[in-house]
Amino acid sequence: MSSSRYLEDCLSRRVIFFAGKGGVGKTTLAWATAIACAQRSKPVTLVGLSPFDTTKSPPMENHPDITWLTIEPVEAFREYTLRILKFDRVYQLVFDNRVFKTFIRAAPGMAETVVAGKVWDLYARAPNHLILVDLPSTGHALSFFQSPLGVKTLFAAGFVHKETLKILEMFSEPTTRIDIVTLPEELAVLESTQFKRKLQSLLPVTFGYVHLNQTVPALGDLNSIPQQPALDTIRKRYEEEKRRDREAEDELKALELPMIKFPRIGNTTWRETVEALANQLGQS
Amino acid sequence: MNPIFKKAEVFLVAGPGGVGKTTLSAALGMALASQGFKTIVLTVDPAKRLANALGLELFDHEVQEIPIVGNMLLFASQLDSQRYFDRLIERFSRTPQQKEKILINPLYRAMVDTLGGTHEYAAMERLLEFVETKSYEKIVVDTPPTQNAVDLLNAPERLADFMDSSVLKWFGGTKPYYVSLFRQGTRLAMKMLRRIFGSEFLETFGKFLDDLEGMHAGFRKRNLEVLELLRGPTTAVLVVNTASETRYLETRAFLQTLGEQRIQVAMLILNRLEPLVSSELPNGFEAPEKETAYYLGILQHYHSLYVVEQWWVERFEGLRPDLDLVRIEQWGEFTHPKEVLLRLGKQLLFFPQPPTDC
Repeated sequence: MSSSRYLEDCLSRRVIFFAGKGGVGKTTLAWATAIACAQRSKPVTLVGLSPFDTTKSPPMENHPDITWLTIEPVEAFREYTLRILKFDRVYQLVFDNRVFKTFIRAAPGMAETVVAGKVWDLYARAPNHLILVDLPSTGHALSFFQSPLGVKTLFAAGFVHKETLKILEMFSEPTTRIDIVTLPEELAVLESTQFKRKLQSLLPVTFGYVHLNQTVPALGDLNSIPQQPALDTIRKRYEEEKRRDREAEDELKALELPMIKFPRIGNTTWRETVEALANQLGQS
Repeated sequence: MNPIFKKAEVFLVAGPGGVGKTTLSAALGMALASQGFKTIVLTVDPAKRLANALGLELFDHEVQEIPIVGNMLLFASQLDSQRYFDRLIERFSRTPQQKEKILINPLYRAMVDTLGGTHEYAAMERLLEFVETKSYEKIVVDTPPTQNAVDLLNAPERLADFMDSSVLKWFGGTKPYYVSLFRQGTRLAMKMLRRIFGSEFLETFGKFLDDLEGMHAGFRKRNLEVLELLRGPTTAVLVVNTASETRYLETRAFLQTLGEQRIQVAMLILNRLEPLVSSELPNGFEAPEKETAYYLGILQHYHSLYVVEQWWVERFEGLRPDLDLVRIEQWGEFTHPKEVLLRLGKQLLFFPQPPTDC
């Protein structure tokens, strides 16, 4: 894998997970990737995971080549149960939502496993689709991958057990890739390295790219330019941000993954930002 | 001093993760303490951010004293929400035996980890405790970095829902009299569930729910007490955000939810704002072409960031023109010396006047 072959690599995968701390730009990157892939005629399904992903309305919702959906655990669990058990109308009424909610909340790892199960469902039903999963923030993301392991043990027999085996298999397929999105900020970088280390110790997964978001754009080499007192503040800021970016890049080398940098650009709307990033990726 | 800060006793610093809530909470706490109020800052955030913001490695005690200016002290407390939830179970258990049975149940431990909202619930419960003991004049609550800020308010309700006895009856488990209350359909449904989950789990789960029986009333009552506190005149909710499209949409939704819950917002704070930068070179600037191009490039970049952000600041202003909107500019460093924090806190405390140094 190299940074210049990002798009090519994406097109060769079946599932890509975008992981990272809250607020680093996972959703933005996931959408940019979706658009860049769709532009190469790849059918894409973009998955958001509720309740973590409900804070903004999806401005790209009606993009023609991209299927966008949100998976909500209680609804997914209900759907799954009703399908597996082939309940008829009477029993559908008997199970009301509060009962499902109770199970989801109390049964450890149930919610995440159910959601992963739905991803697996999409995966099995549409082998030519590329599925992009916008994961919740890091702590929850680890639970997402970890939960099927716990559930498999807790529910030592039955349908759920079998489902967890399939899910774990999907995570470890070579066509599955996990990308890490981060910012050039100490906490974000730290969480990225911790996340990779922890996940690797749990499952045999394939990591993909590190996306370093909101870097300062390359505006010139400072060293040969003399100081100008009137512009001192702005120059200092630029130099400080470049130094911060370099430090983050150095720390992220520990991940041993190819890195792509995305500069911070002044766009008014989120949609413009996504499209600009999609262009950058499209040229890769 | 701004009347909001004079009048209220509890300050809830709310907002999504990554906007600087912890720093602002620390700053506000310091500023209040510097004005002579006995102040405590509460956090549930397991990361060491509050400690770091206050210049410490981590907290040694449940309530930590931090010297700020002269003889002034600020108090801070970091909640261990896992252990804290145990205390809640203790409070609501009807017998010591019930408490023990729950605490040793492996499902309980797992539930606290995955239930979602336990951090938030523990934070609210802890807050109530501090308010009831009346040990502090001002309490600043650094709320957990929930992705969806609405979770904070929903948490107690969701928990009470979970404990709802009418749902628990569904999983009657070992108690025969429950089963007889329901139609044949229930038995069949449970049989189906056994096929999915296995008998062993269902039995453990049923027992667990049996043990929780009766606690729901306690949780629900507490939930109402939390809401009452949040709705009352002694609480001020400060909503913190950064200025961009997604944050704007989030804030709008959050304000609406708060309104529906009849919780008033006292102040909107926009943090980490870009400072004003002109896109033009200063008067009299003369330099070779390469140098000029270099400086122009930098100016235009930062100027465009400023302009875009200002557009959203205006949208924020339009959200609630009746509220104070405080704008805080981006700081260069991410860890802040105490003096800087104090100045920041005073900017809030004395808004809209510029703070005097004292």
